[in-house]
Amino acid sequence: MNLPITLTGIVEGALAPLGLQGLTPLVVYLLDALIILLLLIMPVVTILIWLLRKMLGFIQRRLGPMRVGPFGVLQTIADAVKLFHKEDLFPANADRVVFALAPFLVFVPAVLVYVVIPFGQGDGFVTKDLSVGLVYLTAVTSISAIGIITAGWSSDNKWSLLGGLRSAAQLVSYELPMTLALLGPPLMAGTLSLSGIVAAQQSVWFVVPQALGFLIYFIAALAEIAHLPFDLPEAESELVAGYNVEYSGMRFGLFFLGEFANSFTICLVATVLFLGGWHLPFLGGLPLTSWQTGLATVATMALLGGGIWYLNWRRAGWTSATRWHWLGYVSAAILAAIVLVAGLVGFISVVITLVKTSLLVFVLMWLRGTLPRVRVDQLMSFGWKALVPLGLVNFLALAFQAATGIPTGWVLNLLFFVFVGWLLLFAWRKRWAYSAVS
Amino acid sequence: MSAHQLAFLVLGVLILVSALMVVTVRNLVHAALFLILCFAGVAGLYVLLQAEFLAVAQVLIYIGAITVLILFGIMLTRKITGGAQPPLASHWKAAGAGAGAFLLLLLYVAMTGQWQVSDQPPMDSTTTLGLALVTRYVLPFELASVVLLAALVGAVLLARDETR
Repeated sequence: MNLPITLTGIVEGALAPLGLQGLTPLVVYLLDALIILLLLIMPVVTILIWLLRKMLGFIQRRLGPMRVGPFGVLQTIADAVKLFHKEDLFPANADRVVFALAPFLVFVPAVLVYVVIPFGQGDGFVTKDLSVGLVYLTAVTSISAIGIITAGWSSDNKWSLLGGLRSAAQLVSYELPMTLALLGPPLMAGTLSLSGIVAAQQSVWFVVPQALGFLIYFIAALAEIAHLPFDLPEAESELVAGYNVEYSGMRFGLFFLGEFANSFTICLVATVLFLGGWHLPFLGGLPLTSWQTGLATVATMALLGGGIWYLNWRRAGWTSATRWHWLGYVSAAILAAIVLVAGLVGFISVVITLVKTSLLVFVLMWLRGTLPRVRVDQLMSFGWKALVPLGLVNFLALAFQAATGIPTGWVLNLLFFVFVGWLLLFAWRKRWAYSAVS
Repeated sequence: MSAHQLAFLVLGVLILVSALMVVTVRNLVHAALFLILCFAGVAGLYVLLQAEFLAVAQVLIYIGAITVLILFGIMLTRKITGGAQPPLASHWKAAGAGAGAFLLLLLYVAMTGQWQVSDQPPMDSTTTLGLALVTRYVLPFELASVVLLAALVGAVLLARDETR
């Protein structure tokens, strides 16, 4: 059962009696933008910030926010209200126009990316499936670097400027391995459209032949969004807060929003390009309308939800967990009912994509809680001496395979394991840095 | 006036005004920011012409890479505050003459050239472009990569620490 309700249809139906059909595309795009901003980015960022604080609390053996709402879920909203109330400060010697503009240069690209991302199967779940979707993605994400640099420069503060300069060097260096790794999926799928790339992963997810590419992309993307262990542009202990140190109120809030939207974006892009998007593992051949697919989705979600709930129970004990766990059951039951009864194709596929993305976001937060920050020289030598050559080898091997038909996947997977082994060895030799200071 | 023409007019004014600001504004960082605006306008023109790959490449290369490098360069070489620089360099007469001559040449070509106008939208410009780059235009393509490689090697040579 695929319900023929699309945004275009609704808008056209509403505008036709007024004789304004010509405006349909414009209105649809405006509505799309609003939906993405209000129904996706804001809630996702709000939840992510809360989840991050809970996760970090879990890792650091404390509770995290607990005061506002059950388990502190409303803490982020309270923080946002506080940010809105704060004074919009300008430093005395700041370049006022540039200073005011910079947060938008960071936030707007973070939102623009979502135009091409297919959240689910079908045209209803992607704003505009550009034929050059992947190039658009890289292009738009590269704009935010300008925002960070100009924010650092216009604040007229040496720590801000240092943060901005560090960020410029880091973004320019890590854009190269990231782009090299991004070349893999379109080469295998034969298209630059993101929907096309997901569709090409029906039988095998690209992470299997492209494990190396996936790892390179993920590490380089961490550096691109200045996430730990590569958060040098905003290293609290070295630069106070880096490029955004002079910002207050909602201008700071925009940086914050952009940052979290970006960390969600890289996980979403990794899901779409490497982890099969809306395809289920081992069930790629099944049509998404079948009840087996719905059941598998619900089972996966129940497993995940149960795991998270179990961890929370282990951490907080019955006293706080039992009071609210019924909320989880009720929402899971409602979701399962929707999935099974309605059997909406798109809905299931969106859920699958988002579940995979959430797992990657979990990895991100895990890294944030465990890894120490790298030094500037380590950052540069790792990028240029490890990631760029590996990315080149990865791309050349794929191109060789595409041109001659001789399979090169085993070489790449061998390289992947060597690389992971080398990373683990490095971590083992530096284990003193990872152990808790007590 | 159609929406298409209106968009062209807006973009044209945007490009011209921001380009003018790039060469007249006294603050180098502001000039770089106006340059971004100018590049964005050009990308918009490409979108109007349905050359989406060119538009996206324009944003990726000119806004995302080149302007970032320019900003990086300005901040490394100038004082933090940027300061007011004389907007016109000493060679502005020669540069102006060169640019004016080029403008006249462009105008001549645009006025006298026989332009082929196609009503059909391009099929898939990315595929066509990619094929053209490795077949018909393979020599300029390879030459450009050799030039870039030479620039890379040159940069390494210049930046190398001689004492080691």
